[in-house]
Amino acid sequence: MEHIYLLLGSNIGNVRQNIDRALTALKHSNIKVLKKSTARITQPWGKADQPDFLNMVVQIACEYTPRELLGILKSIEREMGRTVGERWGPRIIDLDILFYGSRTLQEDDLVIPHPHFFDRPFAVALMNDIAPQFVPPGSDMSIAEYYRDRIHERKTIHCH
Amino acid sequence: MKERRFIVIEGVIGAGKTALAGLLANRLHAGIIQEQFEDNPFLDKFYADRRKYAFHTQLYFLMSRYKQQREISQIDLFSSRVITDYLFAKDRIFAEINLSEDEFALYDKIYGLIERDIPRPDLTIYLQASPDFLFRRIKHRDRVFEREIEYEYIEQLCNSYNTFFFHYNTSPLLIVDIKGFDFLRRSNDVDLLCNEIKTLKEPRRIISRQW
Repeated sequence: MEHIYLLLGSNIGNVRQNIDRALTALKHSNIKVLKKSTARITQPWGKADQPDFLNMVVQIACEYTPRELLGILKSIEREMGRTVGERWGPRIIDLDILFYGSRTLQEDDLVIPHPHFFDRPFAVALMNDIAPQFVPPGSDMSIAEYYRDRIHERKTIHCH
Repeated sequence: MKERRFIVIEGVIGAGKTALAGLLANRLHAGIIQEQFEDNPFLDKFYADRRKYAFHTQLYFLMSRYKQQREISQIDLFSSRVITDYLFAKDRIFAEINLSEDEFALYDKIYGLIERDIPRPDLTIYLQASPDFLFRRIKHRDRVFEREIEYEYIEQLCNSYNTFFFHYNTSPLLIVDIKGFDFLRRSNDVDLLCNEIKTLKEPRRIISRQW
């Protein structure tokens, strides 16, 4: 079985409920949620003048190809009322594929592993919650090792 | 800038609230008021059988926290500064997790009545961490009455706390992702936090270690 990981995020309205609705929608689309991280408060990325996010990483199992999975995630986003808007702007629900087993993909609208995963400490932290042993494709370090190494470089950032 | 006289530190079990309150009190010349949770005669029974002793435990906490908060509101906050290692609203977070629906409905009526007498913090600091990190700390510090705590319970608390603080607006809020900070061993980290407390202008801010 391939290990597939998604990042869920919301920063408008009842964020916890939005995430729970997205999880239900995944189930209804025949996508099994195997593991869930906690939902964590994070700083908005890219565009800082907007509310914080609540983010969660989940491990799923499904029969879909990466392309099909992306289609389903986008359809859940649309269904839940996210209009195609500003990149990195506020959103009711955001669903991203972080990893699809050991596969790597480089297409215009679909890059796997997620191209910004390693830039985002919170994503690594959440991934470390549920999959510390996972070794991302092209890497020789597990998530846990990566997390431990990087956190020790100790630079402090401040957001909004 | 408005002086921050009443500062509250909150976080899930194991986040290091009490130690940080001590360090900050020392640095900011503040009085410190600590939660007296070990006085709760139901606590060890509760961790052994959560369902059975939840209501007793909650009511005892509600009563003792209320009493302590009333004492804080008597303190002359014009001439002194106070730091506590808990937020009164934590009582309700725990109640919602641990009580049955009926019990919680009853609890919430009492809570609603007394909440209005609770002094509002001038600043709240929330120590955010992953359940794994907290669980390891709890095991490491090995407090007798915490030995029975299960991982799933910590996970549940993290979720409830994070959702609660996402919507929190009772006071300005400083969220600290504590992984990567070591307030006990590195005084620089305490300096940094003190500086954040003094300069915070926005209603909320997240501080974390970045690579």
